[in-house]
Amino acid sequence: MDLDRRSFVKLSAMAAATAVAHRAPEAAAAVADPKSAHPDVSWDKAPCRFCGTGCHVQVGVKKGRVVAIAGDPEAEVNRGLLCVKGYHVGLALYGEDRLTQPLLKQNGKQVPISWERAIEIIADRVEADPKGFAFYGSGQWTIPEGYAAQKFMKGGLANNHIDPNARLCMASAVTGFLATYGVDEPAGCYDDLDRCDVLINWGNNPAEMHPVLFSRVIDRRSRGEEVQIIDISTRRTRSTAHAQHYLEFRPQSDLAIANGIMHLLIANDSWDKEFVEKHCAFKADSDPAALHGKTISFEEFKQGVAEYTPERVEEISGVPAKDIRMLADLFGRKDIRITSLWCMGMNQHTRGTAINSLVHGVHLLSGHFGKPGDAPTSLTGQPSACGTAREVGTLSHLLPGGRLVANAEHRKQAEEIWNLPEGRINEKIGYHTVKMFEQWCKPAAEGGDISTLWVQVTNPGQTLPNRHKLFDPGVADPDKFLIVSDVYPTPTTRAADLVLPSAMWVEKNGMFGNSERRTQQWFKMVDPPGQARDDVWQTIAVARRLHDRGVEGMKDREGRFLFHIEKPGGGVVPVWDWSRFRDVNVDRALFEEYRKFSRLKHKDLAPYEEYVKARGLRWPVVEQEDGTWRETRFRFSGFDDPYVAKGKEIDFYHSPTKDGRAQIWFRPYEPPPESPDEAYPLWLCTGRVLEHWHTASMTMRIEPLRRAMPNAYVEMHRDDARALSIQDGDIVRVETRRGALDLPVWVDGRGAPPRGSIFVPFFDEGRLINELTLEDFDPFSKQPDYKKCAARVHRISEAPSV
Amino acid sequence: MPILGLVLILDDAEPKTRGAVLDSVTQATDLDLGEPAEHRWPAVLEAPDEAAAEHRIAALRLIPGIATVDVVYADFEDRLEPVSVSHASEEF
Repeated sequence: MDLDRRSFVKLSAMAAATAVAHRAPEAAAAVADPKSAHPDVSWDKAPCRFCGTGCHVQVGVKKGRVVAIAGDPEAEVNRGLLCVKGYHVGLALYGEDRLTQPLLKQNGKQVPISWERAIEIIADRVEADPKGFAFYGSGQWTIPEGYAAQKFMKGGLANNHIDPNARLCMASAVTGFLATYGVDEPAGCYDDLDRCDVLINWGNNPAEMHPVLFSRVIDRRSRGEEVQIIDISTRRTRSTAHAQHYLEFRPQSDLAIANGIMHLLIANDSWDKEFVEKHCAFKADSDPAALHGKTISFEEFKQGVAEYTPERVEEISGVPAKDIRMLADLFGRKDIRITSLWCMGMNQHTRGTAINSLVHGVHLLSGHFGKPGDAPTSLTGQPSACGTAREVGTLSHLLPGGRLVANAEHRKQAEEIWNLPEGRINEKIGYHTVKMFEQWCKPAAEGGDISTLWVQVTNPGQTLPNRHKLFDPGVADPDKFLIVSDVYPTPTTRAADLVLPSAMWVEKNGMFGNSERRTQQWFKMVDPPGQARDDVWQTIAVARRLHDRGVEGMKDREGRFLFHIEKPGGGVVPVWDWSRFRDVNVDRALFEEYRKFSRLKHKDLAPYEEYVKARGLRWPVVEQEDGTWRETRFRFSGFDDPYVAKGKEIDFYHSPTKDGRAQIWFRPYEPPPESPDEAYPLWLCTGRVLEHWHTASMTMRIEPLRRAMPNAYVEMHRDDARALSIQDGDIVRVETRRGALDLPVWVDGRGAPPRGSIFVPFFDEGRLINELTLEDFDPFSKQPDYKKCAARVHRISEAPSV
Repeated sequence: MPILGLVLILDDAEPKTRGAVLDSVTQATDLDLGEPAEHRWPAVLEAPDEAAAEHRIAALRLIPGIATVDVVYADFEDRLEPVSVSHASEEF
C-alpha cells in the first residue's frame, strides 16, 4: 500500500468515526471528505445484505471491486454504526467458490452448461407439469425479485404453490398482527427504542441478533438515561448481561406469562379502561378454529385469564410469582413507556399465533400502545421478510398488498393491475412450506404432486426442520427435480439437479423492506462474477421461453408478454435477453407496477425515485400538497398516521371487526407437542450466533467471522454435563427421535441454558442440526417450531488435543 | 494491513474519568484519536493483520471506563484474496 492510499484510508476512517461520534454527517467534513479525497474510489449507499434491522452502509468501490465499507451516518436506522457482520459485508462477495456458471447434474456429477440450455430445461419441466411446479423463495429476495416470481406463478401459471422461507421465521408474527389489528406489520418503529423506559425481550437475543438496534438502548444508558431491560428467556444470552431482570421460563410457557400479566392487570384494576373501551374488543378461539376466532365479552375474557394467578403461572413456567407481579406492576403504570421486542422465540412456536396475539393484548389492555416508546414490535431476521415475503405477498395464500387468493374481489383487483383475463388467478390456496416439501418428497405414485421445485436465495437443505423427512427423500427420487439459484455452494445446491449462479447484493439493483416498514433501495455497483445473473432476470427469461412456446398464461389480456417493460419514451425492451437486461431499470419498472397494489391496506409506497434519494422511507408514504412525500413512523396514531380519522387519537382502521377496534385475545396455555421424557430427557433449542448470518453461506466466506466462530457446538449446563461425565470440549452425540448429530460441548460458554436444556446453533453446514428438529407447526401460520423438542446426549469421545 | 474507524463509548462523560481512560488508550501507537463528542471518541486503528485488529478491539473493550467500541468503517482492499471454505467437520 503506498503512502498516499494509506493516508487517504486513515482520513476516511477518521471522517466516518467522527461523523458517527458527533451524530452529524457534516462533522466528517472537518476531517476529510472521502468522496473527493481519492477520486479512484466511488461511494454509494445500500442497506446491509444481512439482517432485518436494515442498517445502511456506504460502499466504496474501486476498479470494479468493493474495497471499503462505512456505516452511513445519514441513515436513521444505524446512524453510522455497524455490527461485526455489517462492517465485513463487502467481503461476502469475494469467497473463492462463488457459483459462476449453470450446472446440470449428470450421472451424479454437476457439469457446466449454458444459460440457454438451463432456461430450456426449466421451461421443459414447467410445461410438462405446470400444476406440479413450485417456487420456494425468500425473505432475502429483493422486492422486484419476489414480485416477479409472484406474478409469474400466480398471474402467469395460475399456480399458488409459491412460498418463502419467511414461513419458517415470520409467519406467526403475520398471523398475530392480522388477528389483532386486521393488517400485518408493526405499528411502531425503531424510534420507540429511543423513548421507552422499559424494554422487554420476549425470548429473543438482540445483543447478538440485532446488535445495532440494541446498542440504541445501551447507548442511552451510557448517556445516563435510565432504561430498564427485562429479559424473558429460556436461556441466558449476551442480552441477559444487560438486563436488570432475567426471567427464565420453561419452553412454551410464555403463553402463561402473558396471560398472567393480563390476569393481574384486571385483578389490580390497573388495566386502561378508557383505552380498551374506546379502542379494543375481545376475542377467543372458535370451534372450528379460525384465525379471527369469535368475539367474547370482557367478562368472558376475565373468566379466561382468571386461572392465571401468579402462583399458577409460576407452577407452569417456573418464573417466580413475584416476577409476574413485577411485570404486571410495570404494565399497570401510566407514567412509563414500554416496548416489547420479539423474534424467533415467539414465532418459531407451535402456538406462535397465540403468543404473538397475547403480547399485543398485554400492550392493548394496559394502554401501552400508540405513543413513542409504547409498542409491541416483532423484529425480522431477514433483510426483506417484511418488504418482499409479507408485503409483496409471496406466501401461498396471498396476493400483493395484503390481498388473499381466496378473496374474489382481491383476485379481480390483481387481475386488473396485471391486465389479466378475468379468472386467471387460481382461488385455491397453494402449499405452505412444510406441505410443499412434503409433497415434493412423496413419490408421485403416492400422491406427491410436486415434481419440480425452484429455490431462489435460500438454503432449505440446511434450514428445513426434520430434514430427513422434508428434504432428503425428494433429492433421492429420480422423478423429482430441484433447481437452485444461489451465490455459493450450500447443502441445497449440492443436492440440486440444476444450479443457477446468481448475482448478489450490490452486483444488482435492489430494494428491501426492513422490520420497521422501511423500504430501501440501492443501485448495482459492481459486476457479478463469471456468468452469474440476477434472479429477476432468471424468472423473466423462463417466463419468456414459455411465452415463445405459446403458453397462454405468459400473456396478458391484450396478448402482451407478462413482463412487458418499456423504456422511457416508449418501445419494448427485451429484458429477457441478458445482453439487453440493463437497457432499462427493471427494478423501477416492476416496482412502479407493484406499488399500485399498496393502497388497499394503506401500505402506500412512494415512487421509486423517492427511495433513490432517501435512506429508506416508512410506509404509508403519502404525497403532500407541496409534492414531497411524507413517511409514517407511528401507525394508527392520530398525531402521525395520515389515515387516522380526523380528531381520533387512535384508529385501527383495518380492524377485523370493522369497528376501528383492535382485538385482545384470550388464548390458553397448551403444552408443546413434544416434551422431554425418560428416553429423551432434555429440551433442544436451536438458534443463531452473532458472527454468522443464518446458514452462514456468506459469512463463512469472511475469514474473520469464520475464525471467530468456525463450527457449531452444543451448550450444556455444567451440572447436566457433570452428571453425564462430560467435560467442556468433549464430543457428544445429540439425538432426537428424528436424527443424531455429533458436536463438541461448550460448558459456561456464551449462552447458558438451564439444567435440562441444550442449545445448538444452526449455521454450520457440516453439522446439520435440522436433521433433529421437529416439523410440527402452528395451526394458523403453518410455521414450524425450532425452539423446543426432546433430546438426549451421551459422550462419544473426549475433547481433541490442541 | 487493516484500517478501521472506531467509536469508543466511555462509561462516564466526566472529564476526570475520561482523562484517566484516555491516558491508557493514547499510549498505544496503533490508535489515533479524533475530536470527541461528550463520551464518544472517534479513533482509527491500524493493525498488522485481521487477527491483531480483532484482538486489539477486544482489548479496548476490556479497559475500565470504556463501555463499548463500535466499528464504523472498515477498509479491506488489502484483504481481497478469495477465502476458501473448509467444512467445519474437518476441524473436529
